[in-house]
Amino acid sequence: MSKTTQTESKKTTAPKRAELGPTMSGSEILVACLEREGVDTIFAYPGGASMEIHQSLTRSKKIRTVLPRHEHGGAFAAEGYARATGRAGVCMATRRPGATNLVTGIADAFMDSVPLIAVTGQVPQHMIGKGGFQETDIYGMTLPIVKHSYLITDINDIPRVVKEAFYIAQTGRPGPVLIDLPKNVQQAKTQPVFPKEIKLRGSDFSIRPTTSP
Amino acid sequence: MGLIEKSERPVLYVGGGIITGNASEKLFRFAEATQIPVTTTIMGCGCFPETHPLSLRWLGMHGTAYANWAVNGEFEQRQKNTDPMNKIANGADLLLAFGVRFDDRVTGKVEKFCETGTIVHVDIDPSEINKNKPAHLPIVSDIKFALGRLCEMIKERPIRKKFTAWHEQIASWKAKAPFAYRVTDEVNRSQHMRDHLQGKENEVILPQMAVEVLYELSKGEAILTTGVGQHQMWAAQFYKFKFPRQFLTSAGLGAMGYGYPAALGAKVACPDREVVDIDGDGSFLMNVQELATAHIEKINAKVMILNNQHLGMVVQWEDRFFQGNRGNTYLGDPENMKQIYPDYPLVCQSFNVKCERVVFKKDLRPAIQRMLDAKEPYVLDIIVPYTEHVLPFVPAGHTVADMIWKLKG
Repeated sequence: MSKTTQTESKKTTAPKRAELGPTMSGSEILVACLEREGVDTIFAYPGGASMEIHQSLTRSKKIRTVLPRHEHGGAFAAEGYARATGRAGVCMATRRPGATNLVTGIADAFMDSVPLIAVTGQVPQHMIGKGGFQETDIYGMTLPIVKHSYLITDINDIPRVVKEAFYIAQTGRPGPVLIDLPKNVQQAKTQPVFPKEIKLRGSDFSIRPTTSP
Repeated sequence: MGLIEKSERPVLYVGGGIITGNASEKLFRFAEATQIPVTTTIMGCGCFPETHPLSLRWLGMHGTAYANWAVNGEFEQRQKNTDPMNKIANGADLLLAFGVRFDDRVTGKVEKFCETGTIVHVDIDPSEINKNKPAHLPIVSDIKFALGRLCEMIKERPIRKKFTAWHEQIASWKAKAPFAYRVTDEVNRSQHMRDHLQGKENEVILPQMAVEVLYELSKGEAILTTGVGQHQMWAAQFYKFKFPRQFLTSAGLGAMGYGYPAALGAKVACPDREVVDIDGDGSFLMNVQELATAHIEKINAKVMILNNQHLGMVVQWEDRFFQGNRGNTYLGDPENMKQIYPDYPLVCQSFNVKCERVVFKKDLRPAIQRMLDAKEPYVLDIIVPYTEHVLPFVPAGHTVADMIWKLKG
């Protein structure tokens, strides 16, 4: 596995030191982070809570956005991409129905140890828990079938979260990682800091044998 | 190493971990150096070339009889699962389980799985160790690292043993029960013959045939995806995989509708490879909307529908366990059974995707060739009988002694 990680990091354009970017919106930061992880294709179905990200994707020169005709298909296509290459497949959907339609694909990736990054748009933070239009707790719903999941509440967390998500999805026993991104975080603006590496306590997945064979 | 030297009948049981761990090459070297036969799980298909003499192909519920015998031992086929198990020949005395998780579709009744063997389990995920089956020697490790170390150790101290008797036993098992099919009386008596073959009974296409022809015409080099059900098993049985990441299937979850979108994803990732989705009529319909994605995005992935107008795998279980009583498993139009429903050529036409229907055997080979030659998305709707069962078949929770593997009639 460690070999894959090495070739993976070679492909990314991340510089050696943490880098300060220009002022950008949350959705632009997300797309910039995906580009830095070497993503060339994303399978994404737009909706109210993810259209900001789609707007940013139209400006990306590195990422091809494939529009499936159902989120179910998008998740499976991302899995097909991941299984054929060994690199993480990326799919994206909007809040409630879009997100729940991804669930089967996430479950499938979990069962068969496929590296998958699922990005979902979420209602604005102040609406979470109010049962507003198309709100769903996709984070809670997918907990038993993900390797890890994130609900981003601070725009400054986006670069670190995306880097961690790709690391977790692709190392050790691979699996799906969910990133839930509320709409107000997508719209907020900040100067992002792109980390060069991440440190996760207790998750050095390059495990060496405990018993001598 | 000591365990290998001591054993008489070792078997390598390897899975998807070899593929995700990029350890196929190391596995190949290890198997060649030790001459230990290799069986894979469905997830592991392609991690060891299935054309290799050491390959036992894949094991489990619908895997090869000889792989199941090699792991569990050969038993007289018993009628009831309360009957005693009479052993004919011994199975493995050493099972090297690398990157696998002892899934119930592999083991059947897990207490009886490789009952007489010493089990060495290597996995990167500590939670898999002793989860389904206790291991005598559990090791938590990256499999590529572990196999690399084993290869180095063998270089220093080569395995002298040849396991000749064991290889002879396996050869005789292979000769006795290869994957096979035949046009049975049941097929000839079926509604399919009356409705669709119109007097040309010797022109019937069995689903297994279609996969075999595809294997031949694509030279065994295509990336295959599947839905879930009988067609998935036949694809795995009659296509011999040579490389890792060649067979993409929803194995653990078993999600119908997986095949076509996954094929699109694989084709986007590997535009230079031939990507074919072998699908069932039920599974394909679950994500039929992705035909639009294929056309608009110009993703040149192919589909071969093995259309039997039924939920084949459930039908098979109905035949075995419910005297053939159909519980909502017919997918055609009950009021017009002579018509193939839905009409895929028409469906595809509305998506601007080329589609061809094949009913007779004489048309099969040229049609598959046309599909492979097409430079655009292409759907081949192959009409097959619903009466075929996937064999061998170890009923869920049963043992190898209950395996049904002889062809009828």
